[in-house]
Amino acid sequence: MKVLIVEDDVAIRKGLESAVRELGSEPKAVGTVGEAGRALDQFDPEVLIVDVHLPDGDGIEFFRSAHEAKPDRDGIVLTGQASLDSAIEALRAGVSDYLLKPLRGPQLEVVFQRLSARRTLESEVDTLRDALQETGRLGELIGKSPIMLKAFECIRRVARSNAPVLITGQSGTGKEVAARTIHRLSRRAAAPFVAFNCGAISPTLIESELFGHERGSFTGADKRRVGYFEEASGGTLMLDEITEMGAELQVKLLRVLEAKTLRRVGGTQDLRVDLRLISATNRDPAEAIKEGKLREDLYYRLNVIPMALPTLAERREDIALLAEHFRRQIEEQEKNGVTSWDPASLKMLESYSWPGNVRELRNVVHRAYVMTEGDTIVPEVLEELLPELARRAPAPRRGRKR
Amino acid sequence: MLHVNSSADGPVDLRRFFHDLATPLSGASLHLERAARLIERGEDASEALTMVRQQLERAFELFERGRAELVG
Repeated sequence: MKVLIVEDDVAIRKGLESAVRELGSEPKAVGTVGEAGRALDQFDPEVLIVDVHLPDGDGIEFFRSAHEAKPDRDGIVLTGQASLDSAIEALRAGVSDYLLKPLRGPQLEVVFQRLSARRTLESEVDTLRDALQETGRLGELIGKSPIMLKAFECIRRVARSNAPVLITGQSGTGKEVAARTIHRLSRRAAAPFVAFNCGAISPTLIESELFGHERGSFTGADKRRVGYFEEASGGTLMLDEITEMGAELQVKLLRVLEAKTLRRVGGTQDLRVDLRLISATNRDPAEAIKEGKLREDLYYRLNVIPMALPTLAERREDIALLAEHFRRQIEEQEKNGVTSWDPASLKMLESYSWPGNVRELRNVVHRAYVMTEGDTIVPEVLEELLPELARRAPAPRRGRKR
Repeated sequence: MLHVNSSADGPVDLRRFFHDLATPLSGASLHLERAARLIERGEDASEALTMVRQQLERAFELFERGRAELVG
């Protein structure tokens, strides 16, 4: 590993340089933020060891900017007892670990082993991600079209960060699947993924569903209830159809996101919130703001990383891949021996407009599977399911296979 | 530089005193370990040991200055 040491004390700097080299890494040591900035470009370190206080700046701030420029970079902060609070803040800011002065070599060794084990794991996950992408699959998302490969790349980058994501896309494009994939590829994967549809619950109940309530806080609240925010603690909360949330609740949500604390309905205690928020909408957010359906300040909070999912019509080259994926899934469950597609059937699927997107395709494949008498899904079955296609370009009639 | 505040309106800043002392002690510790590694390999450790001595002297000097301020 390439390790950049930023420490103004010459003796510590040299001592660390020697200790880092001894651990099998390649060190470069500098004494100021200015020198460190130049070393970032020339040396391109993977790990930064930075003192909190430097003569020309703040070590944590320097790490933050270096980390933003390249999120794979790890940071170790050097700190004394007096600045332990700032070291803890640094951990929250993405620094991987800290070393407490007076420094000892074995302390550095332990931190390096921990870092190295994590980086190896992350590299394995990256390899797995690449492999998945090559096979036209990322998590539960399927596609090989350029537009989907771009979306996969976006998801992979987003998964490493903790920033809020706003997914836009027509109904049925796979917004929840994308959110679930981001969660599965993130460091929060072991914690819960909770999806909540703001449009599916009565406006009067949303607040208590999201934030929970205390016993007796309203008529019918006969016991304390933990809300979706608490359920998703440590993990990811997906708020779908965010524009369907009432204006008053949007203000409360904004407050929770800013303060990172929430209060249950009827509660008196502020509870700390630690989760990654992914929101989604099938509307154009700019229009929703104009129409007063989405608060502009909340939009900026949610839209740190925007992600737009394409319609199925925008990625026709993925239709056959998706159809085959769904057929396999259904075959695994139902085991009716429907094992292939007539090429003309796939052509038919590719020429349809798919207003209901991937969800509609899945339904059509399932129905075609059920209605198929042989082992191959033939065009005649699809003609019955998609009359629009049958009218427009009738497929050649042929016998059903078994 | 040792920053010991013994003003009338606040307690002596012991944390700061220890913080300042920790810097040369870190240097001494790291170079002592370096010297041990060099000796183990049969290499010359005199430069590393000189660093250790310098850092210990620096620590001692800082300690004496701090102690003088702490105990008046």
